[in-house]
Amino acid sequence: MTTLDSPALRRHGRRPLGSFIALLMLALALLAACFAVEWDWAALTDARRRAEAAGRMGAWLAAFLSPDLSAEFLWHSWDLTLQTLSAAVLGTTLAVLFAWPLAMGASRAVCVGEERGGFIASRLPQGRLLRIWRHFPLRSPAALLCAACRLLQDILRAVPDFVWAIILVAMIGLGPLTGALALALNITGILAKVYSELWDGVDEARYAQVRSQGGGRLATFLYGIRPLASRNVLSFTLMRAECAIRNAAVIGAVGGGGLGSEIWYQIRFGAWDKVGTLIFFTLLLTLTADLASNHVRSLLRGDAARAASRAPQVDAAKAVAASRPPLRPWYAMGFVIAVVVWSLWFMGWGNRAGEGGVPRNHLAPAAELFTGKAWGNLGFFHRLLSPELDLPAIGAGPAEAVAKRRAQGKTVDLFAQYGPVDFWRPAAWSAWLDELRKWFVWRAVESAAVPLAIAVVGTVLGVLAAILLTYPHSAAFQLYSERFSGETAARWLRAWRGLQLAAARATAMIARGVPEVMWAFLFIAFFGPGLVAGTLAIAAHTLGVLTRVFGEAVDNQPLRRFEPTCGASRRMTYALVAAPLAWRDWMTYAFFQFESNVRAAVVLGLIGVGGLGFQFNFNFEWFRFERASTYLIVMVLLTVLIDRSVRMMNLSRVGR
Amino acid sequence: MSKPGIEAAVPPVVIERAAVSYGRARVLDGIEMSVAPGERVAVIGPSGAGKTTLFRLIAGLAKPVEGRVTTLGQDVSQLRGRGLARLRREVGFLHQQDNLIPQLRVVHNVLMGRLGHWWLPRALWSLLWPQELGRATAALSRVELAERLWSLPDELSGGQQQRVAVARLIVQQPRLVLADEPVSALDLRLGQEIIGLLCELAGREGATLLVNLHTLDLLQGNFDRVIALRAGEVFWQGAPADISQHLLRELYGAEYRALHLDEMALPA
Repeated sequence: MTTLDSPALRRHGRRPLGSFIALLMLALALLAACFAVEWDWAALTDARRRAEAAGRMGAWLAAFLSPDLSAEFLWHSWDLTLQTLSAAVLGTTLAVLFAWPLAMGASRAVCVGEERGGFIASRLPQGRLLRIWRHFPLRSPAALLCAACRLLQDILRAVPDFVWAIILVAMIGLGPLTGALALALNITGILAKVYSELWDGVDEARYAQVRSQGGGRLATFLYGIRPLASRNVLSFTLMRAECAIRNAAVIGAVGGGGLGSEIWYQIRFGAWDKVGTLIFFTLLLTLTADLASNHVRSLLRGDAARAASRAPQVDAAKAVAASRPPLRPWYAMGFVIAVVVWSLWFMGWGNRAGEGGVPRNHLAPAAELFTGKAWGNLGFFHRLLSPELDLPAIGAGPAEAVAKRRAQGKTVDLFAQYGPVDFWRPAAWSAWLDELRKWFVWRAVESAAVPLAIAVVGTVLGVLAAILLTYPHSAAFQLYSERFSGETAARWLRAWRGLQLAAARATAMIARGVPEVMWAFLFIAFFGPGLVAGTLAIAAHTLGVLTRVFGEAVDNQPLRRFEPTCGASRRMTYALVAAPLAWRDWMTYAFFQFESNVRAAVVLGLIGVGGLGFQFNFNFEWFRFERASTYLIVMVLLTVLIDRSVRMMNLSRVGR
Repeated sequence: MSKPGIEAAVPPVVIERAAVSYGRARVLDGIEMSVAPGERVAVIGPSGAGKTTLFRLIAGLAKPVEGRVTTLGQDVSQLRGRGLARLRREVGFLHQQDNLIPQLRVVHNVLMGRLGHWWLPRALWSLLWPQELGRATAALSRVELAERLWSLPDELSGGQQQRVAVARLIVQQPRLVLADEPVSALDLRLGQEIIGLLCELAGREGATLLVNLHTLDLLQGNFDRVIALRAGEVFWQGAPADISQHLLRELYGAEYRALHLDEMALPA
């Protein structure tokens, strides 16, 4: 036998503990989520309240089955659907336009490019010092620009679209344009981050020849980096566009126009039949977008597969066609331009939203942005820029203010009762917490626990449910299992499996077609506002989103992989072969979804789930802009911290 | 396994005039063969002769359009329910590659051989806390890989991965082993080792062995019978000692020279 080096032997000789550590971390996260915030499970455990919720659900279901189908309301809903679509299209278009330059700035490979020595770098010895210098933003103007762009994209991304909408409503008023702009701001940040990461992820060796031809940074980008990453860029943009349509359907809840504003309005009146109609239209819109993006992405995948198989299996007819420049990109481009033009026209002149069915120009408020009228409304803006830090509470700031606070006994005196050596006593911890809570900033930080807890519990529930639903959802196991098991299934059995597949697919489609915020509307209406409603909403949407990508990861495995399974049943093959094969992909998607669930949980706070989002909205509406600004900063920090830690665990989906 | 007395007499594989077609193309036609219990059979032939399809036919993964295939006493075109489960438990596979799940450690890959005997919760729990660890270590020591119990397959060489797959067969204790080009990705010495292990396994457990081979050097001494396929039909069958250069030239045609078959030491 070969001789093994001892560390390797030691590593292989011992039972690895990785999965136990992962489980322990998960359990700790769940425990922390349960104890960090006050859960009110009464809506689910208390028999009377459960009965009430069931009654409301029954009433709603009954109403949903008999929706308001009067021609007038149908036309109105149709109009709102088109409005939502046009807002989403405009938002995405603006975002793509802004994201490109921003991403070019934020991408190290594009903006900084090849680092040639420089005055300081050439004098540093190779090693750690040089590596630190390579991350120092002030080393060159380009590096400074890169750092600034990254900061800007982080802020744009970290502030959810709903929060942008609240700020924009104060500037240009209610309406679909507000929604479109709010979406654009948020999506710009997301797209810029992903684009720049994709571009940075391209292996330098693959475009080194463009550089060696003497092309500058711009030429290297246009002819080297951009084409190499274009397929991923396109695919991700499509996914975001789909997401934008979902968000546009609900952003009306905070004044963004479209279907959301009407749904929110009707829910308050308890007009469930109308809500049913509106949700039906929302599903129509989101599912159409879902199917369209699925189709285009499968085309993209097909292209990739064809490019990957180097063997030229082109028949003669196709080879002749290929000698002409291909027309498909032009058709696609033409289609996109037509849709954008239609959206502009509809937003401005094509709708019938005004009095008596005359068009109302929703684009008009945009003019205010340029004539400066809107900025006049922005008196609050400089107040937003000076966040409330409540320094007197921690003994900093002007002396008289500190003295006044101290007289009231409202300053933080951390070790008043218990010193640091008492850390082993639980009472000490609660006393310290009480002291810290006298400081406003601490309370703001604590409010972030609510979205975090909701996101943790909601994501875990959603992932577990998605793993279970992926089995009936997978074509490999329901339709093609005979190809790896050798079974000759009876006809009724095949029909039964097909039925399961259809039911699972419908469940997943509806779960993801209804946006989180709309699930939250519904669950709040059933169970009352609170964490439980928010968690269920996040779990439901996560289930839908993850089941699709989990299923894709399973169905993309060649069936041949399931053959040598030594007598395992189909279910066992799924659990012990398909799941491990897809596990890494699954976890990547799950962490990605967790990241987006935290942002979603902040948004749910705005509409009544509580926590960070609620506090921001509350303070903003009561003109306490300084405090609102502190909450805004906490939001940005929360997102950035989670983003960095997920990236540190190397689970970020980008670049894979 | 429960009734060895009765089932031992039944030939594990009986194929009666079976044909398989993919679309219009007939991949196998008029196959007529039978394998005795405990027999070690090698299947040879040029690429595209239908060797892999023959194995899939025997395993029930490809269905005959004509004729009848009986594996371990069951008609493969009527597999369902309990019969299917039993057949799958008693047929062991060994492919050229992709035998192991790269994401699972060696121990889990080996214990897959027990999946036919476990119920789902136990199988799931085994992923966290391997069940019947003794069986896995015993099987791995028989292929001299006991110290690799907790490795990931990617940390092993190609030959070691195949040995792990053999260890899985040892744990599974199948009555019929279908090895589809198990050594094509390995060099001759490692191939000899794997074939040796398979034959030893077959000898000790009394399992029937069907191996699909590219490397004819491994035929001598290891197999009782050779079946040569050409263009989807049985071209020749007989003892390994009866193979001649003339026969190989006719069997492999254009591939003959490329495979360096003329350098093989055989009776001319």
